[in-house]
Amino acid sequence: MLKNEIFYIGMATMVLIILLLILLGYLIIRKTLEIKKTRILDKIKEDYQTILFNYLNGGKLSRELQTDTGVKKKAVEQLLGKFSELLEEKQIDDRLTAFAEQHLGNLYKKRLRSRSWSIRMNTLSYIDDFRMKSLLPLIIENLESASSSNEEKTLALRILASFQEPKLIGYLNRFSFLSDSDYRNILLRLDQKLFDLCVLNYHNGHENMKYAILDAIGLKKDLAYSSFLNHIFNSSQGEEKIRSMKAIVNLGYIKDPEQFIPLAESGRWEERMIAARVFGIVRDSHFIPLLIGLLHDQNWWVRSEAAASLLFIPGGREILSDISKYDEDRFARDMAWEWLHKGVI
Amino acid sequence: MNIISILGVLLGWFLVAYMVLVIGFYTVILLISMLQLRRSYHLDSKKLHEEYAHEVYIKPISILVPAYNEEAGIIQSVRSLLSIQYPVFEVVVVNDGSTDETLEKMIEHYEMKPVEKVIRRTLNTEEVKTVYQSDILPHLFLIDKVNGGKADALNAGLNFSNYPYFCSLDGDSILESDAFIKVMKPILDSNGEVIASGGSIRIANGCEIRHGNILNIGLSDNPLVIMQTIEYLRAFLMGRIGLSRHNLLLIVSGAFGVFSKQWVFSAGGYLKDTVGEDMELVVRLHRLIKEKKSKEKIVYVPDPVCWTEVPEEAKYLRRQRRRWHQGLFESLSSHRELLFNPKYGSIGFVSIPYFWIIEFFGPVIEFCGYLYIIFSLFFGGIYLEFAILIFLLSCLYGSVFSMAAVLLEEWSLRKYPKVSDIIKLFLYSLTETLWFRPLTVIWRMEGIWNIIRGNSSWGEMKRKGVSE
Repeated sequence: MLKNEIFYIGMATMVLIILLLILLGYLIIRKTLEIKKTRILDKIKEDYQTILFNYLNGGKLSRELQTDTGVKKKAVEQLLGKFSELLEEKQIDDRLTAFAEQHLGNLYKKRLRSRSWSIRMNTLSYIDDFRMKSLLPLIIENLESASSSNEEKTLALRILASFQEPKLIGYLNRFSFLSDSDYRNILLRLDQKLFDLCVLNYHNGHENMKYAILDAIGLKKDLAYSSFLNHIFNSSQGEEKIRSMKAIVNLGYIKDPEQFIPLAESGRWEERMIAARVFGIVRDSHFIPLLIGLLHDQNWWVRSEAAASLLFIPGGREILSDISKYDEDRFARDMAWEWLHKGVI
Repeated sequence: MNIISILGVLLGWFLVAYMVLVIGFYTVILLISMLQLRRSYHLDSKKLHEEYAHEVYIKPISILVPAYNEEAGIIQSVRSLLSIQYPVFEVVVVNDGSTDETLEKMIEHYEMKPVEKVIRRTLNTEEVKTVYQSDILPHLFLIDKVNGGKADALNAGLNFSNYPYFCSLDGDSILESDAFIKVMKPILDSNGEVIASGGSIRIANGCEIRHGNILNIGLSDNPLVIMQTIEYLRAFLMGRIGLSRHNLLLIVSGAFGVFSKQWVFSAGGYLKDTVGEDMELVVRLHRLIKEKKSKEKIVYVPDPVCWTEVPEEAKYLRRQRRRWHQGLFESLSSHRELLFNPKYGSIGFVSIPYFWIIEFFGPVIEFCGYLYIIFSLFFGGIYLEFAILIFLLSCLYGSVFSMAAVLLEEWSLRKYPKVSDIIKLFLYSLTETLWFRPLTVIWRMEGIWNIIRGNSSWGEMKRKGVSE
């Protein structure tokens, strides 16, 4: 009986060892092939680098450059990727796009339908880099497809934005999975015309889209939207109101500062903080009493912002210095002291 | 049969059952990780991330570096931090009452000047003596405070920090330059639903590092370091990816993790007088999420790589393991009501039991296993069979899972450049059960012994500094 069991245990050990050896063999072969492949790829890249650069610069293409094999295509793809980052001249860009369309277009068509998620993702980001407009129909197909992941859709939307494709706005309003930063990234790529269209469609969008539009206006610092922002500010509440205020502050031009006065009494600290900042931007000494009030706020951010604003207003520095010495409120005193003695900001 | 032999057989069955349970658990985790990594196989993540490096609206982060007697490496680590790719960040070095030249070195090298700054004392800490700001690099700060331990230093740094997210870093770690962009991505993409994000840590011993940058990745020749490399691969690529997938992650490693400051404040900051303050904080955050019934998450990103120095001598490794085990116990016991508590869902039923049964009591049971094997040699018969079975199972655990982790590494990051590295990892992983595993088991048992005696001393660690 004992012999029998030792036999089984021996068998189990063998199986285990064979399993491990197979795994090891696989790993070694994989690594060897990969090292070899990388070496070949690097060699081709080295050879093609100057040829491709000369073509992009002067428009003349040497016959030595071919894209008949997979590895050559890969080399070209990586080189173009590098150039598209480094070179920003319009003419070079056009040549780069043309070259990519001609040599990689068909490959990318296939790859966009690949079953592997990562291949589709990589392809999308290269299409974006190379601005390959001919693939637009496939990208839209990908957007419409139920099986494509949210990450892919986000990338696809970015590409649509780069191409200034009007259909984009419909998609933006439809998809709600995009994060704030995705939205911003997309909106900031738009030209004036398409961005205006977004602003026109403001009220059809869902929350996140609205916030993103407001943020984007603030980042663009375009005064043309000043009255739009004021309108939103006066007609909205909550987060939307705060974002519109932030955008107004970012524009740096405040038409009617009086309307911010009630916010100094707001129940939300974010609103009080922005009010403090607005008063600082206006630099009007009749806001000083309000700022002194805000310097005694219970929220640290509000106090900090109020102190900073006081520092900018003529006569404010003296007031801060008085507060830092004589005020009864320790928190206000500390904050005033800190802003007066701040090192490099 | 007498009672003793019945007990012997029962113990044998128990040990085998335990090992099968452990192996079963890890197999499930391995499968989850494999699926996850296989999906992003060949994904060019560098390309996808470069977009973020230029974004102006990205959430700024404060990098906290607690330093206690780190004069050997502090200048290098700060330098590597200052060269990271991230739009807006500040570096806050907290000198926790060092007795060596840490403070002087920082002041001299970075031209630190005292600044007046009022610090919000959201968290209670030991007294802060002076705050310095660098004259040449305005986003570099140095806080000099009375010694209070690592958690206290981190809390002081948190009180001071200006930005909504923070990362705590050990003074002896080196970051890859795009690590922050990668680790912040889940936070940015989730609109704040992800409140903490941890990144993978790798071993710097054996790599060529100059001026705080990794030049060449290599595998050390020191057997202890190679075994630790295997352990780290297993822990990060297998364990954490698998656990993170279902929001079960209990450790965002202390050496590299980004947290939302607001959440950490509402959880009460780092807990003082614990050895494993990082794990304890993560458990507390999980708890807070469940108690608030909200759906925030803690995730793990496989690739942002932070390189850290591990002990090369048995003496220091032993101290480290002992300390880790004490830390584990402190975190688990201060949250013992989570165990099998339906209120905490999967954390209470999977993560916490896992840490109790496999991580904490594991060494005790494994130790019994070793004793069993030794005794069986004298008694033979059925005991010997159990012993062989136990030995085989632990080999399976040691070797197969280690190799699987190497496989995962090859599928995802491919950091080791040579074929010989893989062979080395393979051969060493075969020997794990014979020497390394028993050693760590004994060291961790010592940790348990310290807990029983009520000795919570740290044991000082020696560093040689990773960078040239």
